[in-house]
Amino acid sequence: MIKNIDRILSSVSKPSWYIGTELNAIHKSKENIYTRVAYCFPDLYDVGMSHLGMKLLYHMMNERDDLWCERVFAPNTDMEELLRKTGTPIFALESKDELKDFDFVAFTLVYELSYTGIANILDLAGIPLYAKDRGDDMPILLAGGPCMCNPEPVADFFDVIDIGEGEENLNELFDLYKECGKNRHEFLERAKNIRGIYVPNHGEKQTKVTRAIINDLPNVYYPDKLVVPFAQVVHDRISLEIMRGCIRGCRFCQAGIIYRPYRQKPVERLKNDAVKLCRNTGYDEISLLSLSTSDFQKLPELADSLKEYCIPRKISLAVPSLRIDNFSKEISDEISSIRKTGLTFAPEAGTQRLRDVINKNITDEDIERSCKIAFENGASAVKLYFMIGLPTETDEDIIGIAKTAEKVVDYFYKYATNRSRGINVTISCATFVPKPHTPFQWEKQLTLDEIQRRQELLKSSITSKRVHYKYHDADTTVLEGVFARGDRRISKLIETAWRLGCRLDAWTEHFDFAKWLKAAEECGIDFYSYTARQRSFDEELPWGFVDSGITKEFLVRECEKAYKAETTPSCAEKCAGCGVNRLCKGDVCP
Amino acid sequence: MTRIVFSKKGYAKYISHLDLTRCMARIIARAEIPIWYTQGFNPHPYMVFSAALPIGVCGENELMDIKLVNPPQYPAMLKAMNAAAPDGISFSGIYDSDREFKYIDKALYTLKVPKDIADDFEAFTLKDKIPAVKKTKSGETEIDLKTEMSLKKVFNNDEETVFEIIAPCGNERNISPVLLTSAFTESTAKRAVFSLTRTAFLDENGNIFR
Repeated sequence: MIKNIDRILSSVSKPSWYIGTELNAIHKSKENIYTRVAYCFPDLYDVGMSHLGMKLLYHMMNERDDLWCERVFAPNTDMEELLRKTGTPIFALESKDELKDFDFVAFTLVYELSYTGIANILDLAGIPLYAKDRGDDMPILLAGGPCMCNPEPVADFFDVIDIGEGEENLNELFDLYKECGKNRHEFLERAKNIRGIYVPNHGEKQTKVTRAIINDLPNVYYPDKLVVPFAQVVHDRISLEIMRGCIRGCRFCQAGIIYRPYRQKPVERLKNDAVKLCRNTGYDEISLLSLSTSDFQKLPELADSLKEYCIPRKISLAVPSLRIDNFSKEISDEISSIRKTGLTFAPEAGTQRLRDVINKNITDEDIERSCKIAFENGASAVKLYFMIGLPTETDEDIIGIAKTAEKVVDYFYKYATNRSRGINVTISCATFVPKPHTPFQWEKQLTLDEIQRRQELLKSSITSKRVHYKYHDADTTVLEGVFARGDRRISKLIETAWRLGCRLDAWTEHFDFAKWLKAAEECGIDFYSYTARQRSFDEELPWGFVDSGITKEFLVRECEKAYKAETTPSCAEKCAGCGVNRLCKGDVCP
Repeated sequence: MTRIVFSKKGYAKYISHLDLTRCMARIIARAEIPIWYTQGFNPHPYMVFSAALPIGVCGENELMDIKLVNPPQYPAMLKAMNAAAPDGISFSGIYDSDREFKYIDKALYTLKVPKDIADDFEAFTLKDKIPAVKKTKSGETEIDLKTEMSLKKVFNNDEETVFEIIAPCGNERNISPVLLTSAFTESTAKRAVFSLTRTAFLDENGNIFR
């Protein structure tokens, strides 16, 4: 246990982020533990504690009697300063032991802009960043999370990278660690035989790593309790994952690919989990989590059975991720009978042509129909998500975004029952970043100048005062693009930028693009050679050795259909032959 | 009104008052206490707290009032709430009371000072005047801690010296003893970790407020 803990906690601005005694935090006695895991989220506590994947695996790992998994988050700037000033190593929240004392230091990597957090946490722990610089006395560095479907940008740092769904293979990995009697070399060599495990810096390089996939999602582990933070965090509620995967096949969407196949959980199971989670946490809100909640076939049935428990206890039900094309009156009723919330829809593109290119199969009529339902039921705020810079996008498509939003305003005055309250339409606009394993993985990303030009064009195309336009910083998008499709050279860039002082890059107040440009110059890296370059279908890609289950033939086919603005029906209508079922036992697809 | 006596100790002393109210609401939900909800657009469980504890200060007999919708089963409630509480928060008493928190006038604190600075600290407290700046919503005012609070040494051993402090803790005037320890740290530049615990509330006659 580190010294001076009280002195440190009494001097930081948010001490409750570091105390580790939240309700349901897991404390074990060290004597009975064979494997100790420090599970790190390379961003601040309030973000990390909002992330379901980390909570889920934290509780799953701690189900093992021989293992104790504890949490670590990136320290806020004042905490970092204090740790450095007092020469105190970063510590795991539960035991307050320093990270060198652990068998594994694991990172969950959910977005690319958290990568400098790896360097910072390891530095504060006194652990060398590069795998090649670590001796046998150092913990084994493990990484996982959705970003690891292209592990190469951070592969130099880690000993073991888990690609795919950790529920499926983590127990096998820890069993192996025990079997090898903590012998590092034997463990690393044998870990390569576990599906989904990539060992990037030991022995021969693996030519193919196949994503780990849960075959039986209806019966897979789900926690019956969650750590309940004292401080308010971004998502301060119960997340109930109702299904995994998506039937839609939007061509820009990485999650739509890397969480295939589409697997739903039974209503009975979900109800039981929800009741246990409410009892064990005391939360007053449940959020149904999935990539596209309205595609859950038994949504009305699920909402009914949850309402039965929730209403008398004043627990509200949040249903995010609804689609416009199957948003029904029934769903609207289910939501508003518990608590009225604003509506969020994602048309993604401003014209029908471009929506066909990206295979977002919704029409103007769908938008009108769902707005009608929402406004007739009293909604007065609508948030619309779009992307700019999608393949084949023209100025007409950009202007179409403004037109779509203004049409929503018109629908309000046409259908609303409470016109006097007025309507607020927010356009939230991200810039398209081509992601590995998607049909657009070969596409070019916009340059900074072009992003800015199109953002200005959109801004000047909005005439209604009812429409508000929010957009993301273009600089971060470029960097995200570099990391997303990066190769091994990127690890040096991350290290250099961190040395120059880059931290917490996902936060606008900390993000410093000038430093990143300097780091790129020092490393001889040209950002646009990663982002703005059109790749040919034959090019060998850094993530080419990762078998996501989806065949290259499918991705090429989808990309070529995109150029012709041809759509592909959802998995529920017709199998598009993506190939994922090769990796699954039995008939998992819808 | 149902009055609940609780303590906030250990790492729980680092929880802010706002976070504590949320934490209490969740404890009550987990313990399935039949609490009364405010009626309005956004109903929330009705809870009233005695004066907020500053972050870093422990509390031993803190008070919270709640309103119940069903006839109370006090012993069972206390047990359920203790079972539902996170580490550092525990409940020691529950009873009916209609005496409002506005009758709290002062609070009693125990201050433990580590041995290595105990003498310096004692000398500091013996000065004629201990100026401090009190920050409020309306601005900053200079006060003299000597006239605001009473302090006496009650105990010392090889490890620490223990002082007892009585300071204003009412709606009108609330002076935190943290001002005293900060003033010491500032004037002597000696960094130390004081251990401060609020042990009781007092009414205007100096009697324990329950």
